[in-house]
Amino acid sequence: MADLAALAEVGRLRHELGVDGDQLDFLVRHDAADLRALRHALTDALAAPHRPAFQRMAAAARLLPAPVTATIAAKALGPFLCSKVAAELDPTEARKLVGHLRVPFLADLCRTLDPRAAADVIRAIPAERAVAVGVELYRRRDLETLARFIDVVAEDTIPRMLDVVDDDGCLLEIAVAAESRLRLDAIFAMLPDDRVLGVVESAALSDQLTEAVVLLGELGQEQAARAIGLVVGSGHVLLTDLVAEISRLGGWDELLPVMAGLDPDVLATVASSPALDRPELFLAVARDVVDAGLGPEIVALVGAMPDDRQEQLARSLAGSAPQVARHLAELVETVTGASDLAAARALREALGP
Amino acid sequence: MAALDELAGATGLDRSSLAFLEDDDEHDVASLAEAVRAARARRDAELRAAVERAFGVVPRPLRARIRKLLGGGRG
Repeated sequence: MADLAALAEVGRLRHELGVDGDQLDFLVRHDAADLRALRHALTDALAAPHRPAFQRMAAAARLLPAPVTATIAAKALGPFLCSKVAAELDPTEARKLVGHLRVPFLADLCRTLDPRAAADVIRAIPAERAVAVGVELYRRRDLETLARFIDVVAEDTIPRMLDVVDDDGCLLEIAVAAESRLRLDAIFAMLPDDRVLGVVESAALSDQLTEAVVLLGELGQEQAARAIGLVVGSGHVLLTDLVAEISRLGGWDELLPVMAGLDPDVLATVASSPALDRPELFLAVARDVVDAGLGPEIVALVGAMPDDRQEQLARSLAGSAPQVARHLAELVETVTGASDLAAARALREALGP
Repeated sequence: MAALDELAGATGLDRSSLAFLEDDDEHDVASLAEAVRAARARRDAELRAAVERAFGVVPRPLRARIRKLLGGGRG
């Protein structure tokens, strides 16, 4: 389920190179990790010839009083150049300077600031100032820039930013665009249940369930299970849409292990989703399961279904995709106790010797 | 692929780090190389212009010192 992660990386690369249109579309078929490595290497390579000059500018900044340096930065250098010099500043100097730069200028500067190169500087910025810049970026709906900084801002600024980003659809976009999965997980742990559910509901309402599924795949086990549990508790409509989208994206390899660890009652509700009755969706589940070798997980899901439903799905799968059914049967046989499942018996019967 | 060599040259990256692009259409890879060259040229121009603007704002008594520190100020 790498398509959207790759899309996000290509979007970041377009931003880095200042490219519009479909010039880089061919890259979406590649692994997101390769694209990310390429982007990081490109960012460094583009900056490398100028770094000595940026370093000299940063050194020169120390010679002047902070208010004078800030005036020169704002009036002469401009936000783009300042964003490159910022990465070379001593964090203590940077902390002094930001107090003399207007928030809109700092927001402009963030658009081209490399968070990786300037991580120490960013973390040195007083929380009040960082939040003010975040508020300005959010006001502009510059969610891509906000997402780039989620990974490196001081953690104590995040709860305050979550109060500012009050639209769940915007939160979804930021979460999908963010690079650091660890930080994303920490952010979701800070959110109350209604906001976590709100993110998924917003996705469903705005035709962004793809983004929601990718987000679930990126979260750690605990937060993903929490989100799915909240969706289950919200009713069948949202769950059905989510299950259908997971199937469409081939995301069962990432999300079935999460679901298999759910509370039995919650898992039973997932298993009862009408979406799984659709033969083409269950086939998608079966394919992902076979490809990823998820024997115990599929046994957990199917085992939570009533026997007659298990038998119906097994016969339908055997009839429509016997090869997949055979591989699934072999996989299920490796799980202790699974051969007694109604589905396993029905598969054996339908496939014959 | 010649376009990969072109991209390696445009980026300064080792060709081996671009190997995952081997199976892509040569025209597409060449287009990426062109995008990188264009980005580099834009940044060079933006940097030169910004540094020249800076010298116009720096107080006159400090200009010589700043110019010396920046090594002429041409990125």
